Amino acid sequence: MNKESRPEVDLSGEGGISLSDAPQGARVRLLRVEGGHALRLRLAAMGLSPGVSIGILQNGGGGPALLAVRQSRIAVGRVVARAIRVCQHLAPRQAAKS
Amino acid sequence: MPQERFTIALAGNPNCGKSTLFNALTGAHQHVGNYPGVTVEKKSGDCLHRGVALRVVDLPGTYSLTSWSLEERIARAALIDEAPDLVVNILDASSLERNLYLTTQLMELGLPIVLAFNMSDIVRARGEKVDLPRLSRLLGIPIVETVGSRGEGVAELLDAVLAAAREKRRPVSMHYGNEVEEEIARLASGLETTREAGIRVSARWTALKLIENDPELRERQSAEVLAAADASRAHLEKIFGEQPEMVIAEQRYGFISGACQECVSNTVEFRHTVSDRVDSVVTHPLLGIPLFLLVMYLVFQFTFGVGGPAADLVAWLISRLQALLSPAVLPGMLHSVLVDGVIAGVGGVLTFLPNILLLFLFIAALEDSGCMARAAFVMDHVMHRIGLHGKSFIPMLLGLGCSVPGIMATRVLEDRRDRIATMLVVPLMSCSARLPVYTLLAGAFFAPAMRGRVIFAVYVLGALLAVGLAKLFRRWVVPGPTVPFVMELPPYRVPTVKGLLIHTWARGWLFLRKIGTVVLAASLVIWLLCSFPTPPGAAQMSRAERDTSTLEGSYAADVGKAIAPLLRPIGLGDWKVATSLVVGMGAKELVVSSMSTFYSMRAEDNDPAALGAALRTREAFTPLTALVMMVFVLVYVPCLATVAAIGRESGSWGWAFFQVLYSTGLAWVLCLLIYQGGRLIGVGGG
Repeated sequence: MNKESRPEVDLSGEGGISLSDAPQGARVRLLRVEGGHALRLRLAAMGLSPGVSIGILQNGGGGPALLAVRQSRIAVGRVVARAIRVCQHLAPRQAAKS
Repeated sequence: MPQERFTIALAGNPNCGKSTLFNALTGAHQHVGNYPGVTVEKKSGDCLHRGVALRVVDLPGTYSLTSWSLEERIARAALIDEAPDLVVNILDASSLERNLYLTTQLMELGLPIVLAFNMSDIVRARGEKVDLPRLSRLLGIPIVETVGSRGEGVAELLDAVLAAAREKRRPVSMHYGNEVEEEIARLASGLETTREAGIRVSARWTALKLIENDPELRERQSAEVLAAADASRAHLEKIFGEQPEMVIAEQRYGFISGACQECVSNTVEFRHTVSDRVDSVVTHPLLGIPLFLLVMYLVFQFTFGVGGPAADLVAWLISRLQALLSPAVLPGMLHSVLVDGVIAGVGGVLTFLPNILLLFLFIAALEDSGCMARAAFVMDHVMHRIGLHGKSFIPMLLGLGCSVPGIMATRVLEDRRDRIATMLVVPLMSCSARLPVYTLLAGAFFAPAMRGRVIFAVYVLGALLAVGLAKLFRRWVVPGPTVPFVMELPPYRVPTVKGLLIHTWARGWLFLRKIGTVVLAASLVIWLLCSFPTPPGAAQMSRAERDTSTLEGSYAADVGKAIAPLLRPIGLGDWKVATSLVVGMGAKELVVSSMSTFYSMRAEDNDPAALGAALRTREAFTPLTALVMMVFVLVYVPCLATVAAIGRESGSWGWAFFQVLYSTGLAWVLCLLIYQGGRLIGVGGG
């Protein structure tokens, strides 16, 4: 099931993975945000609420990641990307083009 | 005749086209100020529609109405305390779901709302159909289609505003599911009686916010209410296995998705394809930074290429004005205070105006087009390493033009600690006023081939110091966690000319008003120090002789002589140099003009080549001390306008004082190292 190149990336796992480890170009679903109250509400206000579908447009280097969420483009810093847990998108729509 | 008047507030997400619509509504009738005590811009304006006077208040752009960020607290306080007659909620129609999230929270507040379905042209262009009458019925709020950039739908919007404001129809709050509603009702029943006077909000809203654990509202409640709220939260957390505020957020999005599914007929993501393709290059980890630096290089070339001649023109006009007001026209002392004090001081600020306006224009263009957000994205990685936010890069970059707009640009930073740390290092980015000093000294004491390199090295030194100190300040002076980087990258847009001009002018005017007054006062003080006491027999001397002997015997010279011994270890022990540095605190380019008064004997002679020659023949400097002088001018007390800007923007003169102290101390230590080190290895001698 796992991709040979990156065995640590298991999108189908129960607890999901950190968004920071999700491959660029993938479409994932947000499980939860591990972080403070303020960060959680802030992300929710920008569309990143539990269950939302996320297209990963840019996720390279140590810099921020660029996400397609609810028809807008949201940049999250590396620290924030690590705090977001995602899992495989269950009803895959067209994957985000990178 | 009693005239009808309403106050309306504009609310909406950042980048929803709110300020464009605000400009379309109010045109030039705007007042820009600050909210009391904070540096968030407060914009309001007036407009007249069908004989009704409307006062339009532009709230800061926010994604929600929690009290976790400054903008949100301000927007919320403006809605609650100032109680407008109506809220116009502007929606970026092209990302409807996210924009409606704020709408659901505005509905809670119970103020009459009209929705402006903005940028509807983009939605239409991508083949999407939104059933607006149906959406309006579902939400219970009137909706008007607008295209703010072309002024379309503005009249219809105002008609709807008048109708809704007269009717005073309050929107219905959405239903959060039985469990949450039960807790809201329970808390609200206790609140009716304990509610503070003066806050015109419903008990239901307060109860909802308490369940959301809103810090600002918690502060206002009694211990019993807080205990009840905590019990409700614990109860809900047990039921849902999630924090209640997240349950409520999901409920809101659930309601919104439901409404959108019913009303929007095609939700293919179309808008972003071009934008995304550009972004895949611009935000690329490797390509992004060089591209960004190229753009910035072009901006600077334009700003100083076009702004330079314009600044020369302003300087020429000012010198004509000074010549016009000759001593023959005005009596001696009045002439001196007016020409050498007021006009010279304010004129000094005015000569920077063309550059500053151009710089503001470019910033507005970068912001309105969506490029600024990309710049922050690209720079976040680098800036994060020095403990600053991606957006800190922008003020530092502007500092290369002039520290004052750079410091004013720290407003883009949300976190106070980031803001202070950035503000403190902006003056180290060598501003354009310091360039004349470098040109003079490098021109006089270095070989032509070396000049450019020496000046460049000084700039690089400044940037390195800024970066190093930012890290140091963030660690020791304003310690604290870095604010998580989360920002929207809006789709690229072509900015409107009107919008650009209004933004540029509003900021330029703020600069003139706030900084101009301080500089005027400061230049009068410096004039006093330089002009008194009057030397004996001044009346018999020529103008140039009088200028020189006045300055030599002035209080400024006394100060210079007093501090000269302190500057001896760094090779600048000449009291004339010390005096020039004291005068240079007014504005850095004054270092050159006062040196020219001292050394070239002809005050009108501002030709750098002649002054350079005079400096060489009089042996005031060696190449080593010339370099030391450049470094000192780079690092020591930024000009008074900058100190004033730091005082204003940080909200505390303590920071301004700290800036003065650290920069002077650092300048002295650095110069000591360079001078003594240079002597040790035998360069330049001294």
